[in-house]
Amino acid sequence: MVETVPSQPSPPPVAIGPRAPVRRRSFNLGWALVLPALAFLALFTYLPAVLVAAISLFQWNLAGFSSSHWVGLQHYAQLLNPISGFLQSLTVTAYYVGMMVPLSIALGLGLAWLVKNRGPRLTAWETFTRSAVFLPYITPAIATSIIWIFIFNPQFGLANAVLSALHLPALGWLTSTTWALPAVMINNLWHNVGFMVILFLAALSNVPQDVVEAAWMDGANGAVAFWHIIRPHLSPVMLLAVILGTIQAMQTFGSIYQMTGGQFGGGGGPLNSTTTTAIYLYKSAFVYFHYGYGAAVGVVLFLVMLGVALAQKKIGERHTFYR
Amino acid sequence: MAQIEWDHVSKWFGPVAAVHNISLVARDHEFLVLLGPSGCGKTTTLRMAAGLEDPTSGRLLLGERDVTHVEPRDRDLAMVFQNYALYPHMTVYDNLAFGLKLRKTSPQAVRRAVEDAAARLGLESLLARRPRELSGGQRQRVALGRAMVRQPQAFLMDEPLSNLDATLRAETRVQLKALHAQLATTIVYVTHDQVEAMTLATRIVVMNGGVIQQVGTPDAIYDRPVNQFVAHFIGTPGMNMLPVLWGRVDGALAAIVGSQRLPLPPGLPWMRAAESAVSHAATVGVRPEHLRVAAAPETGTPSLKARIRLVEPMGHETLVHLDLDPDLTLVARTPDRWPHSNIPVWVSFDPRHLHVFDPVSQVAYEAV
Amino acid sequence: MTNTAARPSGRLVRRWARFALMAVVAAAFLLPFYWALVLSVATRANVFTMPPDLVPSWDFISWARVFTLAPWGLYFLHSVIITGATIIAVLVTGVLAGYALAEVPFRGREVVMGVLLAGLMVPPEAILIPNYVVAYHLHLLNSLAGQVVPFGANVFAVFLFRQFFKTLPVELWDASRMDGARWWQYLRHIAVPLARPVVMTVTLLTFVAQWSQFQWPLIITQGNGARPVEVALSYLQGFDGSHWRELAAASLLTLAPIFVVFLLTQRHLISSVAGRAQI
Ligand SMILES: Nc1ncnc2c1ncn2[C@@H]1O[C@H](COP(=O)(O)OP(=O)(O)O)[C@@H](O)[C@H]1O
Ligand SMILES: [Mg+2]
Repeated sequence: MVETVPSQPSPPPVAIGPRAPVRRRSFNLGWALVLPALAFLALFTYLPAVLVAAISLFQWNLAGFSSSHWVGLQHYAQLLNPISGFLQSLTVTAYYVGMMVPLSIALGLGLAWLVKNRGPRLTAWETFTRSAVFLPYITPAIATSIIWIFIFNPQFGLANAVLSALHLPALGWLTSTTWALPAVMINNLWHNVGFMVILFLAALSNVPQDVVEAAWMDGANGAVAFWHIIRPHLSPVMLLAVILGTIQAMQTFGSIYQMTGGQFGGGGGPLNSTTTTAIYLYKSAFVYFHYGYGAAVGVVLFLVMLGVALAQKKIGERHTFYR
Repeated sequence: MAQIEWDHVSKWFGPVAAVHNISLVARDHEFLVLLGPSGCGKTTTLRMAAGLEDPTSGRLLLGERDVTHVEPRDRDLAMVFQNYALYPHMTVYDNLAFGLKLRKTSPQAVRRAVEDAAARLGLESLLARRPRELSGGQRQRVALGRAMVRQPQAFLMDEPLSNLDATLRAETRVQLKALHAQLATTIVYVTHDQVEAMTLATRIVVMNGGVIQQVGTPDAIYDRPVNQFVAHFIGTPGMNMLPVLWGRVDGALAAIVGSQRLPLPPGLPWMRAAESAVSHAATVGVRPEHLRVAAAPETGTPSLKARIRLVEPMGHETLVHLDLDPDLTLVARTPDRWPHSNIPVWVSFDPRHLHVFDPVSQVAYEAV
Repeated sequence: MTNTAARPSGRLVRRWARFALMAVVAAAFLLPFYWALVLSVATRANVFTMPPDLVPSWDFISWARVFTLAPWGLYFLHSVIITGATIIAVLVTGVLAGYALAEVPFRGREVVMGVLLAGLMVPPEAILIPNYVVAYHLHLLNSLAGQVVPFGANVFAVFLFRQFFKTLPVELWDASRMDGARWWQYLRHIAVPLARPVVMTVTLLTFVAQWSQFQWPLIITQGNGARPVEVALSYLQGFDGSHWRELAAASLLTLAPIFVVFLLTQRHLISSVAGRAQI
């Protein structure tokens, strides 16, 4: 019955892992459970991520590698040739992204500030305005782009009606090489800014109200208070907004396709003035059926987006305050 | 019906032995209480019986059956968890019924079993509620009910009362005891509360550092602790421990306590062991409730001179803290009231209440 | 800005200005939908006018005619099947993988996490062509399945479920084991019912994404065999671009499910989108 107080015994040779929920398995449950998800992703994410590089080196035939012609880096050489239009598509994309990101952030931030609740609870008006701003974000781009096509109709559209009410000259909008892309931008600003508003609302609610009030008391006016107090609190989400906004803008397809005559040759008109890289890739592969060439565009797009994300992360890390 | 046996069971978590080489039997119909300080391996011992934890070595037997590698669902045991672990999205009824439904019991049988358990525990009016709408005591009863409905071979309970307030804990303790008498099933019960252990247990298992210290009835554990740990752990306040040296006064054995001599009558059970021990030193233990405090020395019993340092009056009794020497202190529990401190007194006790421990191994001499 | 004496009235003015601005913003954002509605119920005379007529004349002839232009019932059926099947697939794969990554220790778990995270970095636009090639070889072109399988698992859903399952106390698993549950019974009866908010979030996000799906179905479908509503709408506009009233009606038709879901679940939907951004 008696045992002496033990000295701490030495561990057994076998180390025991963390608490296992199911014992004596003849198969590995963990792997079995992640397998379905991994299988889907393998087929339509991981394999394609590798395949895209391989395809870009071939004059690709859908039947497979054996019936495709090896062309090496020829497609990449073509990309660099100005005649191919790829470089122009990069310029268009840069213009589009360069406008969309700052505009949607500025508008998003302004709207977030507008619909931010002032009291402890949301008023009905705040809720309603938020909903109105957010709703376009979840609507299918084709359905709403069709409405915007009407709006930008040079003869009977709302856009020119507004311009004429302001005594401004009417524009050709989607028929004009200058104004087609801005028309697309307006549609997409309307469509996507709700997302930015949601992003910024979350960040604004973290700004300590008493700090803002203290600044008001010190006589800081709104703009100064905003710049010095609120902006530092926003900088982490600002970085997120820039990255997500860029990624979203670079991949925009449906609205551009639909508004710029996609059903007649894949969109991007007039005169390629709205041919972004996404449109260019689509047309290469699915209008002209140059899959290998399109894949090369995909590779470049992949690298550019990765580069943008990394660069922005780097810059952001240096300039972000409250992390 | 059910006897649970741990046969040389050890459990290692990485380099830590949570349970070390335990051999123990919970007999049929027994209320076996695992008692010990926090972290001593009680829960792990219980979870291995449940099948929730794999022993690193050793075997578990249910009756004659080796269940070491049997899933919990095939052991037919039920468990009550410390924080109840009720299913938050299910009503009380569904909480109770879940296990039966999984076992493909007929709906009528489920209903009968649930209603029966609910009636026993006074849960009838709560069956439609969800756990979050219940008080702590009600949740505790639901947890108990969930264990009962299946009529398992044995109950495993891990500190089931520790989340209740003192009054409710005392009430529930009584109900639990009545329930055990009624159900007549084996219960293995984990607690760090010695009052629960003493009041509920058929037998108590005192554990420390993953090792069983003593197994015995509550009386045996209280009267004959086998080592200093058990002696000190049982009782409130714990047993007084005094380092002594053995000496002889008029040929009889006497203890030297600090600067005083304590003559002892012959014939105490531990004396032979003490005399034959290599060391002249020992640790002597005496429970606070066995100490008497008086203004004058008692005749016929060993007495020690002391000074009252501090008094804790508790109404029905008083805790008197005494200084023998500057670094030798005692606590006495007496029915008398001692309003003043810092007065000289005499402490006496029946020498049969002394416990003597080997100073190195800390094992009781009478147990050798 | 304002001097001290003018402050109380200045504050009032600012408040009203803000309300007015909110009203203008809300109106501006809803205007395209409103105009589409006006167009869809306009009489012939009220369509091509300058300035545009903004008062509805409630002539539903275009709503009737739009159904003669294309088999909308079929397209809707396709879209519903595609969206429904994708939601189920994403939920099932998400629950299983999320559970494994949260609660089942297995060798290689960290590797799987890393691989999933890497998957988030792949822009769908860049892999459009190899996706098409894979679909071609799996005989998924021009089929409903071809519009489900590529979206059948979602890394975000997996992580959401993982995150949620990690918050469940281990005791629930222990208790259900004592009750006799196997892992799938625990998932089915305990973990997934408790994960209802996550199920809702994943369902809503998948619904919105799939209902709006355009580029992929555009390239893999031909004819009516598996065409979803958005592609059908795109073709309708391409070939009948001057039928504004019918096009407006058709657009609103495909927007209707989104409106309904938005009205029913807007709070949850908005917070889901917000959560989506944080990953
Ligand atoms: N899952 C586990 N992983 C690692 N160590 C554990 C685990 N469970 C228990 N332990 C350790 O084992 C010892 C005994 O724990 P436990 O059986 O819970 O003690 P008690 O219930 O007596 O408080 C403690 O030191 C504890 O830290
Ligand atoms: Mg414990």
